[in-house]
Amino acid sequence: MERYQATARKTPSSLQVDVHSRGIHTTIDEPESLGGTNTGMNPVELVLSSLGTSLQETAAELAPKNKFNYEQMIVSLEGDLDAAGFMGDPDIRNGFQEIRYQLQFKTQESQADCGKFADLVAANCPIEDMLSHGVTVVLDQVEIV
Amino acid sequence: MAMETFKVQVTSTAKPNEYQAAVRDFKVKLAPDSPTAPSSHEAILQALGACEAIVMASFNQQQDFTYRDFYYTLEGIKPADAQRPGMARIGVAVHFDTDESKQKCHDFMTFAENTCPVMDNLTNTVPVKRTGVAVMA
Repeated sequence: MERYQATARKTPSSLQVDVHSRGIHTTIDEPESLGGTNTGMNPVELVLSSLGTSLQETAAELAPKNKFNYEQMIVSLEGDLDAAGFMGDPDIRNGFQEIRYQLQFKTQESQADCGKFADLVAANCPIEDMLSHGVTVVLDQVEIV
Repeated sequence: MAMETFKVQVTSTAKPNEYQAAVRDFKVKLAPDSPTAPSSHEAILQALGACEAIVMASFNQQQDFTYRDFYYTLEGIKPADAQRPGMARIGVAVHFDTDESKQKCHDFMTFAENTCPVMDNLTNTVPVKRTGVAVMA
């Protein structure tokens, strides 16, 4: 069984949040256009960062067993979000409507083999799986401290 | 309101098994097994917690909820006999320093879950499309 943990604590400042796992802290915030003070990336950008990293990790893990060699890979991601959704419009979803990514490989492999390898990575990528197929999220506890 | 497109690029760094996410002026290191960088699994949990926290801070006046402080703790699990690449379950706990009743806390949490973009994408799915594969010179 693998367990992953995180804590997210609101700081006293505006919309700023301190997130941490295993004592490693990151500041999350919103840009000024979305009401924040721009001291860090925002949560949906962190989702794209997580997906991009997961694609990188999956590629690094699968390459040797599949005899695919590459020096480096660049993942460029985009997500479309209409703020009217979380602001209350019932006809628009709260989150991203679509996520897109492009892969660039520095490699001697052919274009066709890169495409096949990319398909393998997509099928095995944990974060792509969670976003494409959904995951059960349960509220385990509401505590007044 | 209009559709906004958020963009991120993830590249390797000089260290093996370490990656960097570049977003606007921000650069965050992420790595699968590092004492100094969160993993992609931790980052998705952090995104969910941060998103719900920002929703709460943005809407608490509108929802008539007061608090002095709050934080989320999140845990994701992947069983040993994993049936899928991703996590099987994410458990969320919210901790409020507040004078509001338990019921009001529950109701406000329900509001946050129904408003939060990251919660929407994780629980309702989102199309993830690869739009290109290129070989760099």
